[in-house]
Amino acid sequence: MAQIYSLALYETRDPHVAEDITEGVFLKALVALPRFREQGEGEDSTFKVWLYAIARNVIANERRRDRRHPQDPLELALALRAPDDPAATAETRLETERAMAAVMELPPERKQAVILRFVNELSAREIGEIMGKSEGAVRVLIHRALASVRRRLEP
Amino acid sequence: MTRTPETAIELDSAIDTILRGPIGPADVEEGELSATARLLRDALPRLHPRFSFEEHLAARLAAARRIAGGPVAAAPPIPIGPRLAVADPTSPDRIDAGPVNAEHRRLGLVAGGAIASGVSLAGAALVVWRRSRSGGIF
Repeated sequence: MAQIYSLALYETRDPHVAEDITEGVFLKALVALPRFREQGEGEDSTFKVWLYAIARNVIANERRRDRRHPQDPLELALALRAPDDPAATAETRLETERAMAAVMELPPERKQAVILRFVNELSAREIGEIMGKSEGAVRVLIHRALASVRRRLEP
Repeated sequence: MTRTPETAIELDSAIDTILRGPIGPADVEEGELSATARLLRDALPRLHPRFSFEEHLAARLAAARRIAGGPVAAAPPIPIGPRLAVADPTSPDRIDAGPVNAEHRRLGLVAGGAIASGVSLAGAALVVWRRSRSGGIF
């Protein structure tokens, strides 16, 4: 559940909308479950990809239906650690905020690929199945996304 | 430090290594985009919903399954919570909601355990559904 919620929150930047999306995803999955056909075992299970594909559709529908004002992307970064967290030095917080801002300003497909790769820790093959792209296309998408982020982070 | 450019395939392989590795800086020199990947791995938080939301959603899913009459709809609601967490059946903390047969107890343990361990509810539902179709015992 946390993985779907995390994806939704990154995409919408609104915790309430992310909860609505998460609820919608699992309710849709529950209804569609009898039609799901497993095509793999263990790490090759297609269930995770199937669930993320539902999430991607729900997120896209939500985006079309409800264009709310997104939160400042830095608010997500600031929520990463409690203010009194001794590990959160000013330097690391600044770096986190800059990286977050750079990711949030990526074009939608690149941003989604980066989130799925780094937050949800999916493989390029899995992301390709979710996004309807080849594994190679996803690799290129992420390569370009990281190049953009790197340019943004350069002093 | 001079960093070398990487191809998309090299970068993808490096990301796999970075995601599997420990948090923190690289032990060896790495490519410029690998360094950016490492930064993102450490900078992008994994976000979690409120616990109250998880409970709310679990209740909604249980209700939806009963209404929709799914493959396991004949079963009563899956008990989730402290009742199943109490190992000792004679404990005064036990909340007895009536007779619960072994099958239902196993279903509840699967669902409750899935939530506790962060596994998706739909994943738990899939397991329950598969078991119910195969007629197997957990």
